[in-house]
Parts: sequence; C-alpha cells; structure tokens
Amino acid sequence: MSAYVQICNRCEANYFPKRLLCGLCGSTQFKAGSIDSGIVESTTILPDGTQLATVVAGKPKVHFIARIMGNTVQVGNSLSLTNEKITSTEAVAFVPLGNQARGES
Amino acid sequence: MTASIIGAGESPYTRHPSTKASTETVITDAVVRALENAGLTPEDVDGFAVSSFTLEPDHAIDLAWKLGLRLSWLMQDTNGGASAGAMLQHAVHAIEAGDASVVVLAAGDFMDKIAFEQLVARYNRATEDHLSPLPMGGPNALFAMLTARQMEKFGLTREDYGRIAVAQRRWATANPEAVYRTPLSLKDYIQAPMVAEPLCRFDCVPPVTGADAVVLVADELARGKRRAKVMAVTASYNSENQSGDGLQTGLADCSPIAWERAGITPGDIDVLAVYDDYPAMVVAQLIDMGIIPKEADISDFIRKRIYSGDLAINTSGGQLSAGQAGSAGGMHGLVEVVRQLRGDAGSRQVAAKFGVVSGYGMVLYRYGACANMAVLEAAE
Repeated sequence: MSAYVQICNRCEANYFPKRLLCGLCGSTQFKAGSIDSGIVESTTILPDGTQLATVVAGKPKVHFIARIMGNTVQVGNSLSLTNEKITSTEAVAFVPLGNQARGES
Repeated sequence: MTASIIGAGESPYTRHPSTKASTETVITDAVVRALENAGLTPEDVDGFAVSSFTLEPDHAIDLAWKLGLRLSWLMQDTNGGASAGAMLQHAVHAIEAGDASVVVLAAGDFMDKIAFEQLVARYNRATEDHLSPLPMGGPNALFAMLTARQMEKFGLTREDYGRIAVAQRRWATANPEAVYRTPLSLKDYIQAPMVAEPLCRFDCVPPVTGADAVVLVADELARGKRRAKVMAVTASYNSENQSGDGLQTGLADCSPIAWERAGITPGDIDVLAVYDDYPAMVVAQLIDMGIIPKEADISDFIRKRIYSGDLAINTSGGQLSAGQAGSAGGMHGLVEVVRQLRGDAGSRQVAAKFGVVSGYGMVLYRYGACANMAVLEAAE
C-alpha cells in the first residue's frame, strides 16, 4: 500500500501535487515514486462522519490531503497512504490521484 | 502614489438571485453605482479591470464592449479574494504611467447553489484531481484543519473565533446591504451546527450573488472631491509554495513594504477590511500586518479590541455577515473602507483618516497563495 509522489530526477525532492519545475534545484525532469506511510498533522470531521486529514511524509515534507478510511485517527498517528479506495479495518489515508501522475517515466 | 478612489458601489448581495440576474448584470449594476457615486459617466472612463469566476465565455473586453467603454487600459484578474488589491495595484501604476486617468475596478459573480458547487469542484486542477474525489465539497475542511492548527499554536478556542463572528454581525446590523443582520450571540455561535470541526456555520462565508466596483482617478482629477488616496499597495504570491502550515500569509512579506511606503504604522489605522473567509484567516492577517503586535495575547486582543468594537474592523459585517459574492470578496472590503474614508458609511460610520484593506485567496491545495494590502487615506 502506497501513494504516488513526484520525485525530482536531479535532487530527489518529493512533491505532491505535481510540479512543473523543482523548486529546490530547478530541474524539469521528474519520475514517479511512492510513499508508504505518513503522520497525521491535522484532522477534521464532517457532519456525515467523514474524517479528512492532512498527512505529512517524504523529504522535503509533502502534505497530503486525505480521507481517512477504515477507522479514525488522531494528530500524531502514523498510517498507511493509498491512492485506492480500499476496504480496511485499520485506518488508511486515501489520497485521490486524478490525472496528475501522467507524463512521467 | 498619485491616484485616489472617488467612488464606490455595490450591487445588492442576495442569497437567492432572480432568474433575470447574471454575472454581467450585477457587475454592470456595481459599475453604474460606482460611477454615479463618483459623479462620472461611462464616457469619462478610459481604464477598466474586472475579476469574476463566472464571466466565461466572456472576458474583460466583452464587458467593456457591452458597457460601451472606450479604453486605453484594460485588465482581467483571476485571483479571487486577492483580485481587488491586484487590480488596484496595477491600475495605480497604469495611471502613474499615463496609460489611463479614470479607471473602474469591478468584481462580481452570479453565485447560486449550482454555480458555487461547480466553482469549488473545479477550482483548479489540484482541486479537481485530488480534493473533489475525496469528496470535499469546497474549502471548509481545509480551513477547518488550518483553524485547528492555529488553535493549537496560539492556544485559541472556539469562543475566540466566535467573538470575531459576533463582532462582525454587530457591525452588519448597521449595514442594510448585509445579507445577515440579525444580532448573533456567542451562545448562538457555540451552539450552531458543525460544518467541519472546529468550524461551525458562522465561521463560513455565505455565498451570494452580487458585485462591487470602485472608481480610481489620477489625483489631479480628484481635487475638491472626497476621496480615498492610495498610499501603498503591495502583494505577495505563492510566498511559501504550500509547504508551511498556512498560518502565515504573504502579508508577512508585503505588509512591511506597504507600511514603509505609506509612511505610517499599524497603530495609525482607523478602519480595516481584513479578508474574512474564515475567522482564523482574520487572525492570521492581523498578525501578518502587525495589527496584532508580536508577543500579544491574541485571545486578549480579540476580546478587548475586536469583540468590544474598539477596532473598526470589517464594518460592513464582512463577508461572514454581508456575504461572499465570489470574486468580489476582496472588492467588498475595498468598497467598505472607501465608504468609511469618504464619510458614506451611514449609521456605521467611524471617524477615520487611515484605512487598510487586505486581500487573500486562491487555495491551491491546502490554503490561499495570494495576498495583498492597500493603505488608504481620507483626503479632499
């Protein structure tokens, strides 16, 4: 289980959502990578019970906005990241991917 | 700077627009009102700028054509809550460069339920790809998490944010153009339904249909007229690449320059319009502009300066009570401060020589990336 992250070919900096140019080294060349897990930085709960969270991972720190599925989490919890809506008894962070992973080697 | 605002107008905000209303009709209404307020006619105008989320497929030139404006300067801005400051900044420079001498700045949107849902679902590509499929249904959840971070960082409580909403509603009771004017108590705020914890209904701006406009002229054309002289306009874009916590806006970068250019300090300000999409963003911008002094007890400041009514902030009721007319959110604040500085604010009029207007907006993925501020002075 993992979530997509964009990696700079030159300096290995991580990005999400996808960028056009690396803000650290100026490279325009990126590759697709993945991150397995992250730490919950902040959360909110919607009236229907849906929990959304900001989950941080990667280097430099990448912030994912995620839907928490399977269970609820608290700030500071570690959990798995995924781009798929999956059924789980453990809390996982669903990060929709959309079309942003296109165009990388 | 050598330009002043001599007229302001707002097309009445409404939560329930008529079937005859459209983006161009409300913008036209605001433009006509602003020109009438300035004592000018469309024939006097040689510069025009507009911002709207829902103008498509038309653009600024289409509006200029339909308004019959013959122009030497034209601009279209796309930066939502920061559009008023952005257009003002560019228009002042256009006047200083001699490209125009009478510029109308306008912003507005037809924003019924369907238009709002379409706007927030496709706000930008990141939203469309990564937020809408969660699903999320707008920025409330993002600012709920930002608010939670701010509460943790500064030890703020829901009551602190409630005092901002209640204070703004108190100002709104004196503004017949505000869509919500019924007095709000702190108890009402605390007991309101949650939208996204910790945000309740009164933390979130009500979308409305409406538009705002101002008339900016070269100073030599403003002599003898009550005016809001532009002392400084500064801006910041993508100040930290969405890599922070969102609690510091670009105003932290551009406000020191604005104060220096204006030659005054935050303590000199008599009236403020601070972009209030959420109370937490009011707090963030007040800190960034130096209105809340460093090391101040923020909760204490809210209670003693804002809740008390001592600080004339968002005197129209702000967007939280007057409504958010799409891209006109920032222009609403500019119109209100101009009205205050020109003595046109009716029963909510305050004694004001200096005013400040902040703009904030364009949520890229986690929070807004555009910020600006304008310092204005009452003059004649």
